[in-house]
Formats: sequence, structure tokens, C-alpha cells
Amino acid sequence: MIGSNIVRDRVAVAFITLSVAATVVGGGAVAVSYNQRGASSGTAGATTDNGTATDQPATTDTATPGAAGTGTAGNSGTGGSSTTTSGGGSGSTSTRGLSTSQADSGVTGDKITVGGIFDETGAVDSTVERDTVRAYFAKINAQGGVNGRKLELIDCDSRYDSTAATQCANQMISNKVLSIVGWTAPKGENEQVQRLAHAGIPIIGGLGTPEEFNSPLSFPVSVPFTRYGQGIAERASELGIKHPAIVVINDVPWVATVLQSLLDALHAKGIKETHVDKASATQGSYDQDVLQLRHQNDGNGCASSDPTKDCPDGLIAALDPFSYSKLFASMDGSNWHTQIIGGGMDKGTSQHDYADQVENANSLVPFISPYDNTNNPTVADYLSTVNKYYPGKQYKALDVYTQHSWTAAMIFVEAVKRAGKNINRATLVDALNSIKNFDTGWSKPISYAPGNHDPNHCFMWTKHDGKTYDAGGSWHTISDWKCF
Amino acid sequence: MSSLATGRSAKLGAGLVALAIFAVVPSFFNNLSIRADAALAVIFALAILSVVILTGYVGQVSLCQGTFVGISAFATGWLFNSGMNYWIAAVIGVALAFLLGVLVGLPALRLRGILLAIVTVGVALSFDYYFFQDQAFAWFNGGFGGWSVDSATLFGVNFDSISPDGVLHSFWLLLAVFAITAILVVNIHDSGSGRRFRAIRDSELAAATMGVNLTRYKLLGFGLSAMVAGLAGAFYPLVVGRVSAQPFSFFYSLQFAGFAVLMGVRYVPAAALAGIFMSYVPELLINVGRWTGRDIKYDYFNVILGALLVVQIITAPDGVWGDIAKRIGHLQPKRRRVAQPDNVVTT
Amino acid sequence: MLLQLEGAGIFGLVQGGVFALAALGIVLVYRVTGVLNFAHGAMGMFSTFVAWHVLIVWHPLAKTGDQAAGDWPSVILAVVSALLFSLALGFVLENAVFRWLRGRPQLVKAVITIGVLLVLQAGAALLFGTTQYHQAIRFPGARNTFVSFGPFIRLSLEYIIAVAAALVLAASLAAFLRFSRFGIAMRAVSDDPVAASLWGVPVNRVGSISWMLGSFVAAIAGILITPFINFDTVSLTVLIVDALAAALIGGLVSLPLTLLGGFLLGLLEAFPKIWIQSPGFPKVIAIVVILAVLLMRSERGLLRSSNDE
Repeated sequence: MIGSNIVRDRVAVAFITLSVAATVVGGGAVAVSYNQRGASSGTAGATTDNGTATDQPATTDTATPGAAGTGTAGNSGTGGSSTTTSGGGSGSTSTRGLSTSQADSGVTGDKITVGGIFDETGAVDSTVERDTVRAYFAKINAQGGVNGRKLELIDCDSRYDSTAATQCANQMISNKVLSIVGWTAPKGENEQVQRLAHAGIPIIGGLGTPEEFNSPLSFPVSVPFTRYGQGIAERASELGIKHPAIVVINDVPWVATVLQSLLDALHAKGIKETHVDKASATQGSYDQDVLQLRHQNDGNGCASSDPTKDCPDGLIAALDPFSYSKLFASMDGSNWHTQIIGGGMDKGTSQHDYADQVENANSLVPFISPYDNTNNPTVADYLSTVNKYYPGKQYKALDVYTQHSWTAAMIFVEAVKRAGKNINRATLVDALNSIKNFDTGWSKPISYAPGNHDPNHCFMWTKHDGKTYDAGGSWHTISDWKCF
Repeated sequence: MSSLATGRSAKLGAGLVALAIFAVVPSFFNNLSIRADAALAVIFALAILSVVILTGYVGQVSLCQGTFVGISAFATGWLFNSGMNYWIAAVIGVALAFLLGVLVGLPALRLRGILLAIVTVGVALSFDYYFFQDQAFAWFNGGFGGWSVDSATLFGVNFDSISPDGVLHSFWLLLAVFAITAILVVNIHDSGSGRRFRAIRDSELAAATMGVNLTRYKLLGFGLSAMVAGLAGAFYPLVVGRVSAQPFSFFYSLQFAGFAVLMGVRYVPAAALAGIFMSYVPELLINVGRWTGRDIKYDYFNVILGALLVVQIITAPDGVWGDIAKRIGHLQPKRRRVAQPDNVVTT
Repeated sequence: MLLQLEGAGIFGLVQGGVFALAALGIVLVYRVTGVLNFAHGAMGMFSTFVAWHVLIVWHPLAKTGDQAAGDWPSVILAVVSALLFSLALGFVLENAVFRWLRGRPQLVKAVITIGVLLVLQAGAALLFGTTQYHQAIRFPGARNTFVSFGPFIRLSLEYIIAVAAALVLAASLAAFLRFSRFGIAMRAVSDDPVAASLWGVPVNRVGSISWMLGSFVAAIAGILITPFINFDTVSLTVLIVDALAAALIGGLVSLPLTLLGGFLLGLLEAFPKIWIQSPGFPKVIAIVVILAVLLMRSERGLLRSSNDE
């Protein structure tokens, strides 16, 4: 007993010494880390004295020495010329007040820093979207970058939470990124559009949440979720569905708008839902949900009172790729097979788990499905690039949402090319607004103009064949573009 | 007696100097994140200070301090968004936290030790998973996106979460609030209430025999503690710009309790240390990850905290701060020290 | 409506069985070692993820392709490795952590389990990923095999296995404690460790084995419940509150009452789901049950041993 007390005392001394040492080392490291961060975003020393640099970025004089200090001779010349552009402006209303300083736009002589907010931990996994953007940048960097500058993505983990997303937005503002590219934060991005826009950061890409179509600094590439409703209603009526049950993921802030647009579109086609089940990405089994979906009758369209009979004649599902797995497992468990229409069911890593429920399921995609269009040059480039830089799990997890991210990266690089050597937030936005009929290769051409943007209106129908994944089943495109 | 008094003013002086240094450092960096982290450090310190009051002084274990922070933050966000002045909303938020504290304290009148801890786990989880998240309470929790709070002014000074200066102002205000609260809490320790609190901690039976009104002082302890946690919560929306459920989840409650015990649950300065640790170390880990090109996730932080906590409880029961203080005390000759009771509380 | 009630009843029984199992482990450890283990859910979670990792990620027995094998040998291999791991985990925790706390106040022992919880939960998140979707551990074919009871009720075999496993395990655990020599030694230690050691009961060994058993039961509960819950590191960890509620119904001592408490809580949590679709509402029911049990308990009977130190 006495012996063990001595041992314990020694461990205590070691423990305390270690904690003190760790505190000292850690404190030093914190200080260094912030200096490092300042350096990476340009010239900390030159800009930090100007308290209003990030807030009122119209003043540009502080930045020029920064660009000159860090850049090569050629670049410092263009750095100097950035002031003239800002003075004249380009005449477009959307760039007024944007930073024209390269140091405040995450641009140095040989590097462009952009940001991305992704759910890396928590209920939803968006790391594959992050890695898709990284893969595109790696490809561009391997070709020598854009105008001599390499692209770097700073990511931040929004943890499937809107507060964490807010803190990420703050981090992006602090890091003075040039823009946000291809972000995927279902629970946070809708709320952060205005905060980032207020700080003058352009946003390219995104899932397609309502607010992304409501800011002149947001450049979405995909179809808004509200328009998915029209597509789904059209498809349901084509399939002859009269009274479907509906299950939606209910814990994202923008779901009410999206659900309402879906219901409106269905009702306009004379389709009445039997029941709307609100699911959560963090809920457990769907067993009870399936029971309700199958038999609940909210008084519309269905009059079945026989418990052995299904009430709805189809299921419209708007879930995340992971929740589909749980829903399908529960449908299997109650032996329910019905017509399914839903978006975002094409995640590669989930196909095995979807088992036979995915057979004959209907989906709609705003980008050409990579499953049966491997000859399409964009598809081929996308698949081979991601496979090269992120093989294995991430490559297999590609889906329609990584296509958003890839498209966003494509458009970003195009805009950076157009903005030329004199790249900053203002010239980037001007360059983006000058993009007309840009052929992504896998969607309808995309155009932007000053003002709010809504460039993508079209879907293709896809349908799963009658085989399970393990038996070689796959998705097939069954229509041309359907625009709404 | 006089040596005690000089020792005290020396300690107070040292504390104020440390506060002053901490107050000045973030103003050198015109960087939103570093200032927001400084403000968050004070918020965490306040939350951990609430554990010091409840666990360190009164001897009641609570694993739902995050809930007290949350209820105040949500109430503030809610009232602000329904048009109320931010500061009035904040006061109401703190008052609500006080009420909830008293409410949670009610079962404590009949329960002690681990049974109370179980109740607080239940409270933390039911708020975390239901009242803070469910759509049925969207009027209170703001729905899935939570509440957004952009800015507030006080005496013409601007506080917000978007500009570095606005955050710096919140930080300074918070630091002042923390300093005042900390001094009050230190003073409570030796006041009449403090003696009754400690009597309850050491033995409820003995305290009752000595004529301490258990009901009154237990509820007071819970209420005060929840109020301090509520102070932290009332500033949260202003510093971060948004209130949603995740920052007030069960795991944060565990972190608050864990940090308090790790640093020394009976010591006010330990709370300040713990707050700084809790705010900056995860940031540091992420930055180290960035330089080294590795993906260092927040979870490493919890692994470190949990491991340190286990080692500390076994080897240094009085916490890091307490142990250092004790060892320094041993170095000084001739001052016999009263044997300290075991850490956390005696049941 | 009738159908919904029926469904909720079945679902509640399954969930209740798992709560009961988890609670049994808590009661076992608490009775013998005096540690109220807040990390019990986390321990079960970690072992369950070991099974998941062997089955889904390593899948050493899979014959073709990159997908996990769903055949019996693979599942058995995964479950056995998880159970072995759980035994090792219990052994290590007792010897590295809890052995050093003997004689310290009960609350200190409980607080240290928070440290263990944080390490296990965050460690599992790092090792196995945090997304909410991990493929559940399923017995091959169980989900698609249906057993009929009457004209309308058809139950998936998966449900029946979960309930049966809970009942069988609880019964054998109770029998083990009551009748085996080791069980008698355990009860001796729980009554009075000092006297037990004087009588030659190997207190350390008894402590180790209680922890190993507790961890083992937690692992079984974790593996059984994966098809029915949100299978991630957090959900299984916070299952602790339901397990604690069930354990409190048993007064933290009685195994049969704990079993009953588990099923009761499972049913109580399932029925409101018909009207209240919220993943969080069950936690509210758990706290209501906890408060009801704690506040209505008689001063002498239930929980006496835990209340007086």
C-alpha cells in the first residue's frame, strides 16, 4: 500500500510536469499557428493595422505592398495594377464594395486560397465532396496551376450543425479566402450565404438550397431543391402514381420550402399524398416510419382500411444517401415493395446496402449520370481524376452531390482563367458574371449575369434496372433533358 | 491574519494582471477567428466556473451545465429575434437559466451523489435531443437552423460576430463579466453562504444537524451555478452569431464537468485555465493538421481530455491547479495545512 | 390504428430487450465493484464497432468483390472477435483504471467513467468514422424471414432473435450470479470487500471478471440493437440514459426487476412514436421514468445501498 502511494505520487509529479510543459509548448504553438495563418493569407503585417480591411474592403491601398512583397516581379506589376481596376470598377453592381486587394482575396504570387465548408464529422459525410474539389484542384495544379498560381482549398468541418457552420464561415472570413467552392453543409450552408456575402466572399456551387439563389455573390451550379419538386411531380404523373406516401428528411432548415414546393407541384398534377413522414438523419430504424407510410391515411386520396393492403401506390422519398439505406432496410423488414421516386440515390458506396429495394427505383439528376455515360468526356475526366487522387472509398462514394462540387470547381477555374493575372474577389465576380453558355459537358450550358443567379433548370430521368448491385444492377438514363 | 490578507490581495493582484494580459493580446490580431476564440474561451470559463460553484463548493455533481448554458442562449436568441433588445433578452435568458437550475435542484433535495448525477444526465440528454432540437419547440429553438443574431449595441458600442472589432468588444465585456463573477465566487467561498455550502458538501447530515437549511442552500447553489452558466449562454449568440443545439449537447456538458475536475474543481483560476484550454487547443490541433497535411479531427481533443481526466483522478485528486498549489505549499516551510477532503465531493 | 399499436408494441419489446441487457451490465458492475459506469454504453459501442469493422471493412472471409460478406461464417467471426475484444476491454479498464480507485468515494469512481466515456466515444469516432450510417450487423436472412402469428401479424426473425437473446442472457446471468461459486464470491465482494479478502476471496480477480462480464453483456446488447437504431458512435453511447433508467427500476441491485424495467421502458418509448415523430422524445420519457423511480422510491427499500455511503 505504501509502495503504491509512492508510485502514485511519482506519476502525479510526472503528470503535473507534463501538463505544465504541454501548456507552455501549446501556448507557444498557438501563437506560432496564428502567425502562420496570417502569412498564408498574404501579408499579415501589412493588413492587420487597417482595422476595416475585411469590413469595408473598398480601400485598396494597403494591399498593393503585400502583393509586391510576396509576388514575383511579374506578379507585383499586376498587383499594382489592381488598384486601377478597382477605381474604375467594371460597372457591374454586384462587385461594388468587393475587395480588389489580392492580399485580402487569398491571392499571393504563386497561390490562390479558396475555402470550403463541409460536414466532415457528424451525421452526414461530405468529405467526398471536399475531396472531389481537391482532386480537381490537384489536376489543375499538376498542369501548372492557373496563370502560374496553384490552387489551395482550406476546408472547415461544419459537423452537420448550423453553429459550427457559422464558425466555419468566420474562419473563412479570417482566412481571407478568394471564394467558397463546392461547399456541402446541408444543415448550415443555407444560413451562411448572407454572412459570407456580407463579408464580400463569392460562393460557387452548393447543394441548391433556397438562399443560394438569393444573393448576387452566390453562383449556384445545380438545380434548386425547390425545382426538384416539379421534376418529381412530373415523373410521378408519368408513372401513373395517384396517391403516394412521402418521406422527407426533416432536419435541414430549408426543408419546409422544399416540401411545400413538392406538394404544390403534386397537387397541380392532381396527385394527393396519403401521408408525409418527417424523418431525421440521426434517427434510428425506419420500422415505425414504414408502418405509417404504408398504412397511414391522412384523408386524401386513399380509402384502404384493410391492414393487409397498402394505402399508397408509390413512395416519394427526399432523403440523404445514408438515410435511404435505413429506409430500404426497414422496407425490406416489412416486405414492402412499391414504386419509389427520389433524388440522390446514386451514391456508389450505398448501392450494395440498398439491396433489392433500389430495383426499378426512379430518380432524376441535374447532371448526366456517370453510371451509363462513361464515354462522356467530363464524366471520364471526373471519374479518372478522383480515382487518381482519392482512390478507394472516396472514389466509390461519388454521387450527384460530388458532381455539384466538380462542376463548381470547373466553373471556378474558368472564372480564374478569365480574370487573368489580376485576380481578386471583384475581378473574380466580374469574370463569373461574364460566363455565358459555359459547356460543363454534363449539364445544360450554364450562364451567369449580374444579379441573382439560377442557371440550371433541367433534369434527366434515371431508372434502376431489375438487378441488385451485387448482381451487376445499375442506373440507366431513360430520357433527354426535361426543363422546368 | 494579516499574512492571510496580504496573501489574498497578492492573489487578487496576480489574477487581475493575468486578466489584463489576456485582455490585451487578442487586440493585437485583427483576425476574426482569434478574437472569437478568445471570447469563446471566456464563455467556456464561465460555464466551468458554474461547475466550480455547484460541484466544488456545494458538492453536487451536475452533468447538465451545458443545458443551463443552452437554455439561456436559446432564450436570448428567441427573444432577440422576436424584437426584444438584446441586453434585456440576455437578462431574461439568465433568469430562465436560474429557474431551470432551481428546478433541477429540486430532485437534489432528496437525492445525493450518483443518483443526482443520473438525473442530470437525463436532463442534459432530454434537452439536447428534444427541447433544443425538435420542431415542436421551433418557437423556442428556432427550428433546425437555430437563431441568428447579427449585432447589438450598448452605450453606442457595437457588438457583433462578423467584424473583428465587434467581437473584440464582446470579448472585453465578457472578460469584465467573468472578472466580476470570479471575484464574487471567490468571496462566496468564505462568506456565510459559502460556509454553509461547504458544510453541505462535506456532510449533508452534519450540515443539517448544525442547522443549515438544506433546501434553501441546495437550491441556492443550483440556482447560482445555473445563473453563471446562463451568463455564458447569454453571450454565446452574440459571439458566434447563431444558436443551435450542437454546442449545448450532452458531450459539452461532459466536457465542462471533465475540465473542471481536471483543472481543479474547487478553484476559480482553474476555471479560467480550463476555458482557455477548451477554446484554443482544438483550434491548435486543426492548425497542426493543416501544416502537416493530416486530417486532425476534433475528436482527438476529447480523447486527450478523457485520458488526462483518468490519470488526474487517480494521481492528483485535487486537479492540476490544486495539485500545483499543494506542492508549492509543501515547499514553504512550517505552515501546517489542513488535510483536504477528497476531490469532487464526498458523498 | 390497431396496426400501429401492434407495431409499436413489437418494436418496444425489441428495444426493451436491448435496454434490459445494457442495464444488466450496469447493475452487475455496480453491485460488485461499486462503480456506476456512465461509460457502459460507450464500452458496448466500441465492441460493437469492432464487430462492424471485422464484418464490413476487413471482411476476411468474403469470397469475391469488395463488399462485405453477409454469410454466417463472416458474421460469426465478427461477433466472436467483438466479444473477445469486449472481454479484453473490461479486463484492461479494471486493471488500469478502476483497481486504483478502491476506497475512493462512489462519486469519484463515477466521474472517472466520464473520462473513459470520452476516450471511447471520441476514439471510436476517429477509428470508425462519425457518419450516422454504418451498415448494421445482421444475421444472414433474419430480416427477410418472417414468422406468422395469427392472420395479420408477421414478424421478422430479427426481432425474435433480439428479444430471445435478451431473455436468455438475463436468465443465465442471474443463474450464474446466484448458483455458481464465482457468483457467490462476487456477491461476497459486493457485500464487504475487506471481509471477503480476509476469507480468501480473490478480490482483484472478482473485480476483473465482473468488469469483463459487464463489458461482454454491453457488447451483446450493442450488436443486437444495431439494426434498430441509428448505428453511430453517439447513439450507442447515449443509450446509457435508457439503460440507467431500466437499472434504476431494478433499484441498481435486482436483476429480474431490471429485466422487467428494460422491457417496460422499451414499450413506454415506443408507443408515443405513433403520435410524436421525434428521435429525441424517448429521452424525455427516460428522464421522466428516472425521476419517477427516484422520487417515489421508499426510503428503506430500493436503492438503499447506493444512497448511503
